[in-house]
Amino acid sequence: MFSNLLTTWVVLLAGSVSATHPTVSSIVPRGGKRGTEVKLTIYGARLSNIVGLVLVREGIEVIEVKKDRANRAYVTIRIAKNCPLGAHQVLVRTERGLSNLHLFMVGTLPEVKETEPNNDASTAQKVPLDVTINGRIVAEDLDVFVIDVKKGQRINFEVHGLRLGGREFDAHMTIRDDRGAKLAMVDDTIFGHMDPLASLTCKRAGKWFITLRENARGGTNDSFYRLHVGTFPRPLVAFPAGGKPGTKFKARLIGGGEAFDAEIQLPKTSGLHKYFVTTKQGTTPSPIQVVATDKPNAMEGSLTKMPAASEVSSWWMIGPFANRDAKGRDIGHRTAYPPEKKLDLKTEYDGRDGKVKWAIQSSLRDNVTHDLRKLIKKTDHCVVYLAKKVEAETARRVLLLFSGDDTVKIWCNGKQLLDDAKVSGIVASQHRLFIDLAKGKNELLIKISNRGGTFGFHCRLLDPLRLRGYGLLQVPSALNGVISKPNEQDRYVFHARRGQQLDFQVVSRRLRSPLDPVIGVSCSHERFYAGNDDTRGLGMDSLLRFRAPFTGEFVMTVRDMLLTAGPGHVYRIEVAKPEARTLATRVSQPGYQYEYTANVPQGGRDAVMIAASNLDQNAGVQLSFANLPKGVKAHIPVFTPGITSIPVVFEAAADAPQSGNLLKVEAKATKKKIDLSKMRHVQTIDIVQARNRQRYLTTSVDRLPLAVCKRSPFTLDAATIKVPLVRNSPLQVAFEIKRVTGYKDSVRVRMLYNPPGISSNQVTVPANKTKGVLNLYANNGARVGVHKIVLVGMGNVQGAPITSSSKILDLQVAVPWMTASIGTVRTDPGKNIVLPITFTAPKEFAGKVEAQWIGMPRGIVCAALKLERKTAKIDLPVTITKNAPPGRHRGFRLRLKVQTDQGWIVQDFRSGEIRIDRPRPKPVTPKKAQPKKPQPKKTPAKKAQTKKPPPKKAATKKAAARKG
Amino acid sequence: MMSHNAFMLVLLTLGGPVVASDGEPPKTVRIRAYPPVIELFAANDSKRFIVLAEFADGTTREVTNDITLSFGNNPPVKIDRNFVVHAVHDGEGELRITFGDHKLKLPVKVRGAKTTPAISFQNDVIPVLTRAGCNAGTCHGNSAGKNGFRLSLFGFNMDNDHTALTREMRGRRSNTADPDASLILTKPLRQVSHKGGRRFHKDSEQHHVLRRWIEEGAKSDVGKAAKLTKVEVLPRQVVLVGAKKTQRFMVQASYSDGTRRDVTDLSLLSSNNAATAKIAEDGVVTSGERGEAFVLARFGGIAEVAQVLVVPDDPNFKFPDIAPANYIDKAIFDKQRRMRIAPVEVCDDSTFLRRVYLDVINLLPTPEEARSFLDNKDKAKRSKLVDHLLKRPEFPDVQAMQWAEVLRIESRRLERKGMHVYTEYLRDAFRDDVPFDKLVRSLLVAKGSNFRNAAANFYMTQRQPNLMAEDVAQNFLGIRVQCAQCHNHPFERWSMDDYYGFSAFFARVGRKRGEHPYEYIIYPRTSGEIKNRRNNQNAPPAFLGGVQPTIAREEDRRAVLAKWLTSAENPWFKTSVANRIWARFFGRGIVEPADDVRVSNPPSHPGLYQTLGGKLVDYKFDVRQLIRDICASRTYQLATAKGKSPPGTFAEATTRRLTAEQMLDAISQVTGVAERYRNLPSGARATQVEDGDSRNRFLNVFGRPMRTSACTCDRRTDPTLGQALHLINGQTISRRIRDGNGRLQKLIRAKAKPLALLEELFLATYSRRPTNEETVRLLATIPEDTQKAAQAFEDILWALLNSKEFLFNH
Repeated sequence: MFSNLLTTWVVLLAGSVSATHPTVSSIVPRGGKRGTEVKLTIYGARLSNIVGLVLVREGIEVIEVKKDRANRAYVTIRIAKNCPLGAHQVLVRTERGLSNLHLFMVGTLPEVKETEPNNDASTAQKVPLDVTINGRIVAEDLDVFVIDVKKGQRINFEVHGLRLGGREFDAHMTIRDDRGAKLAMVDDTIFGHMDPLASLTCKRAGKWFITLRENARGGTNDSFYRLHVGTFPRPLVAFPAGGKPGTKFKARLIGGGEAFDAEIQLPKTSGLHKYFVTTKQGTTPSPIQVVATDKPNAMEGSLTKMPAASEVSSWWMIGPFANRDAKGRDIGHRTAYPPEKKLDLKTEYDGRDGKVKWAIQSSLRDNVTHDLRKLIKKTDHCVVYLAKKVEAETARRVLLLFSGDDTVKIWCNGKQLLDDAKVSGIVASQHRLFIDLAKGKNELLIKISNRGGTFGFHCRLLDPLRLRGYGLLQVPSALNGVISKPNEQDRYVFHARRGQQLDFQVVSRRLRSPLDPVIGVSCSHERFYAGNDDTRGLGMDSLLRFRAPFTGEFVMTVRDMLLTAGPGHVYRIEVAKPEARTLATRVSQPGYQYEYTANVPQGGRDAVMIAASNLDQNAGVQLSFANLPKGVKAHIPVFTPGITSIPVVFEAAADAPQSGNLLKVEAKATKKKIDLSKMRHVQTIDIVQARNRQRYLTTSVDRLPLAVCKRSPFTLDAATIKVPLVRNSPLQVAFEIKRVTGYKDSVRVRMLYNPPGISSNQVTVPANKTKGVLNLYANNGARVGVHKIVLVGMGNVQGAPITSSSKILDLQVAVPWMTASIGTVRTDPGKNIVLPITFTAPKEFAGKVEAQWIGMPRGIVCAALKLERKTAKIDLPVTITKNAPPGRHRGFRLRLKVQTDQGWIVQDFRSGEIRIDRPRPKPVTPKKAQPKKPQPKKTPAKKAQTKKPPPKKAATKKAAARKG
Repeated sequence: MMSHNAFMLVLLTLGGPVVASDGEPPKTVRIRAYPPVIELFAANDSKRFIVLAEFADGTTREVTNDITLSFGNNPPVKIDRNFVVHAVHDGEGELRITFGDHKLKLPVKVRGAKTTPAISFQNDVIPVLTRAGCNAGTCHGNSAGKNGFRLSLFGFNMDNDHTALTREMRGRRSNTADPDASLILTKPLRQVSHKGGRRFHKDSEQHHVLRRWIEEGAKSDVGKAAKLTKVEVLPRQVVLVGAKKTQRFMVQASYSDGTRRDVTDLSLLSSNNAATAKIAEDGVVTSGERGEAFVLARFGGIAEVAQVLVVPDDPNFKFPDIAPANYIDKAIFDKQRRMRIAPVEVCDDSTFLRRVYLDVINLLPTPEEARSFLDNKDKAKRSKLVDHLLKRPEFPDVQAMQWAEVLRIESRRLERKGMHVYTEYLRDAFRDDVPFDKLVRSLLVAKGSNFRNAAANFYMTQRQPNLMAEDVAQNFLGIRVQCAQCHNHPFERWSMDDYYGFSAFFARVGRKRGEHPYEYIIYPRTSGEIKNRRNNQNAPPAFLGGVQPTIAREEDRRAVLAKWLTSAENPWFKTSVANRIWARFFGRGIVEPADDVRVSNPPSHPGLYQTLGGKLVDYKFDVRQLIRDICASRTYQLATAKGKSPPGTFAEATTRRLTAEQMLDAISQVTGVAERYRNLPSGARATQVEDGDSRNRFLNVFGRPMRTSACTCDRRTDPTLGQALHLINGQTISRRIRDGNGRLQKLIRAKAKPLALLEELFLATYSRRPTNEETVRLLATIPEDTQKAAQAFEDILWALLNSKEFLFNH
């Protein structure tokens, strides 16, 4: 979301890009000052026809484009005085299309070029303060700069290396004074990832030496950096880190020296934004991160604190009263004895065994199972009352957890809350009652009736206000806090209803705060905990989706993963109901994941795949492009249920002017009425990859880059597919290549993508041919219905690939019109058999049926199959010649061509088996004393014959059984 | 173990500098009897005893056969011809032993002379099976058993063994109804077919024990019977004079009920140096060539050793009158004196110079450095040189490299960045004199990102808690506990409980992905356990040795471990670290190999071993100071003598082949042509190569470790054909000699005079000037013609680089 740089060139060189667009390896210098003209040198491949740049953001204007060589070009740009600061995404456009994306930094400081040699203090390059140095660290290189410092001066140093994008570059910075003392040695920082930053106050006027190197003294020709040195402000994080969109908010800016207050203006859109801090000293070279959300800001220190807990008296008890009447019935539970009519702790009553009166029982503590038999004699068939006085400072709701043996009634302030006449033992937290206390005195009365045996209770009265001092969190809100002391855990209380869902999203590392948040929600009186450390897609930040298991107060805790702390350990927790996610689209080319631009040749077509996430499957979403350039048409299918990515074909007229564009993607629901105005196009592009092409830093572009480029030397046209593709069967798609005169090259044709369950081949059409067919095959799981497919042809222009696509074709997948089921038979070599085949015809058709065997092994000759729609079964005579190979033959298919009004439909059936048993080997003749005599030879042969029949019989029986 | 060592130290010092000079037989100083008290506990109990005479020159002789014996009145025992004492009736008495002028009273106590206790499965049967080899790893003690019969290795799990003997095979193994039909009796007697052959005879004690046990019902008393608490090998130290002398040893076991048994016949006996002392099954040692041997007795899971020194029969031996330079020499001389070995002379300056350069900074001195040292007349120049080298920036590189090897710093597990910052971390620590214990603590408790906190990479090299524990024990304690993962260590005290208890300290190390795809965050978790495979229960964290610290739930177990591990009280940490340092300078540890400390591999100089550890503590784990002591000792500065003294006496310097890094750096230095290493700047040395896989053929051929294990044995110094061919034919040398920017070609271009050139080459390769003979002979081979002369010098340099004097650190 936040990080914005890119490097696709590594990938491009690896050959996974399909078109002849240029590739850019670096743009030098990597940045420029606002309000200046900069001459850029662009290095890469296929740049000889450079036309211009496509800039995603405003503020940079191309003045001059100069062609030089295939691997180098020059572009002069003018950076407007009010050009937005920071990373600008740049694509280079040539006559053949758009390049990969690069970043260009726009800053406010004067630019200085690093000059070699500057490898040690003696050759150090002298630079003034408040400059940006553009440099490069090649292998084994050290870059040393020297600055003059005055006493008391606060100097900030920031390296932009990795964050410029490109190859993974790990810069290392050392700062020494003129006596050689090490002032700072910085490798990685949280703020700059692998880029070092430092902020130092000068104690003695003199010279400071800044040494930059690649961490392991590696470095390549692409290891560029921008070193900013000066007295500019360098705060790292804002507290609070955000506010409502479009508003100004006051924040304390922490890091890079003394913290200071500033007012931050937020943009009108929600989300994470970059903010360049400007003070009298200047502007930060790189932005801090701020958040704009609709939720009201809540600050850690100024939340409403939970008030004091209720005062609760000890238990009073009175009893025993009788539980059993003269007839031996248990009447205690339903008999209202005087205490439950009026609570008067002073009066004496008639009990079961004489006079009883209220007595305080301080031994009855909370959260303990009490055996009342210790307090009362003869506890069988008795009733006792327990009472408690609760003094509440404010009216509030408390939780009573109670369990009594055997039956229980509970009143509060005379109002009955529970009548449990079911006889039960003591189970802690058996009854969970919310009691609304009035302000002031409250009376809690409990009646326990016992029949016999154990007699006791377990009770807890939980006042959420025991969490005194915890801040009370409102929903929704955006809570801002700091973990400033080691081992600190910030705790907040919030109320949730049973089943209520809440999202706690921590924004912390995304602000580049050193805090690695861990968030937890717990309940103080039950074993309940839910927590989250890191969530995929949010980096080190946490997202906890919490569903309240019951109504009550919960405690939310936030801490650092490693329990570290500091003034900059800022967090912002967005607490809200889970929000519906907005529809987002992106270009996603299967097999070509780094391809995210469309390059449409004049008079030709180019196709891309667009994938949607958070899509309402039944809405029938139709995409459109708001700003298609003149002469360009887009063919966009609708997202139908089951489809999350669609092919989009752009078609340019022959006279459409060449241009570079960024298409704004819009969406409309055709079937359901839903609001898609917040729909976004998010193209996440890697700007730095770690080894093995692992994503590290990314940038995102909200529009689809499209270039109208020079006419392609060939076009690809595919014929409309009239015939459906039947499951488990093949289909051929015919196409034609039209080459311009003089273009003599083969063209490789493939599908843009294969719909699920459908496979296809690739065909190379040689230079002397124009027509070809592509073979499709649907498996048994291919979805029945219409699929949108596109064919893509790839040719060659001066050694670089160039693509052209067909129109979108409708491919219908269907179930068979007529099915065949082939039987399983067994035979011996040379012995003919009959192959049973059964047919069904689920669909109506009027035409003929033709049958054809495919892949039948040699030596097996089937009689001609004559079929019509009504045929149900055929016993097909099969000739098994002697040279038919023995074994189990299952590879053959029966192809049924069905004539319908759509045409001849090909259907393949692959079942059945013809088994030819290998002849039994003749038993080896035991060598006898007279081997020369011919006579004995005959007898074993006979024996073998006599031995054979039994298995034969068995086999035939089995075969017969199968037939039957 | 410590008390044992201390005891031996006392003995050694008691040996004293008494020298018999006139060839007369040495005077007997005293006689001792082993065991010091004879106690008998049952009617069938018997004990043997040994009488040892100690002589004035420190030697000993067994005189059991030469003594005269007498009893007081009504002795409770009788003694047979083999000096075995048998119980007669309860009571106490004493045995009066006379040998020459020396008399000794040996107390005798008898209890329970009327009773014959039942056979104990734990204390009788299992030892019989162990001694007979039944439960050895090659037989039924194999983890898969043998032919369906599976016992635990050396009886560490007796419950299972009892089940195997009495329950399995439908009880055929022990038939209480008909004991003689039991397979456990018929198999070892080979009455039925037994692949293991006959293990004992029908009238042997072993057979009787097994048979009686079955007769008595084949019961198990595991856990109920008295527990074995101690095993002793007596006498603990003998000094035999000359070859083919015999000495009996006995093994005595003590139990928790206060009884003691003579278990010589039930122990597994072996010697670590059979050429010096061979031990027979009955405990009789026969001396061989001069040297030191340790006889090892293993009984009931405990191993103990006794020391046997064999000295030449040379009563005229006189230890030279040399002053020890420091405490190291004192300890070394003491032993040499006892072993009747005189140390050789101190080496010359050039040898010392070359040796100390290589040992401290892995480099050769440059000709200029050599010249200035050789011409220096300062008497303290050697110690000054050591001080100088310890301050050189190459010193931390060498130290870091040595530890990086066993800490497995390599890019496969750490990724390039992690590997680099971790190596830098070690270098910085040695450069900035961070005490070693502090460094180890910082590794053990490391947390956070392995990119930003380099020490966290310590936990990236191993991910399983038990493997981490193995590495820590081997690296920092010198203890190999690996065996105890599956069974109790056969040669050591380490049990499975020790293994899993120690592993449990690492069970709560959490790892999670950081922001960089290869970055990990190491953090202590509050949950996580490791199961002890012995009983499938969670193992509570316990230090080696069994002490279980109390650790709060929130507390980081690793911090508790780090405190214990690096404390001065820990007997293993300080000594094993000191021993590693020692091993680098002598090519051999006092315990050798340096990362295999165990009872059965005792230190050659126990006193010095402890002293070095103690010194390291005194020096607050500053390794530089200990190195200073080592280099200052006369023992380190000895000349070589072609292996005339037995190893481990340190009476001469060991010649050591240059390690792979030393060799390649030396060749680069001598020829003046540097090697290029992957991912390192030009001019980097082989010592600075950070990755395990250096991708350098030369280094691989010469045995640079791949850093895939914590074992020091991964560094190979054995010669191979490949090495020889590499030096003789390979490009490494020939390319460099001819390189135009190399030392030789530059000198030739500068028209150096042959004599000066020769001296330069000798100083560069050997750190010495050529001898007169060498000068004369070599100059004679150099033709007048300039071109041919250059060719001749190339040949000379090639010869120097291929000579033993260059290839070895001597």
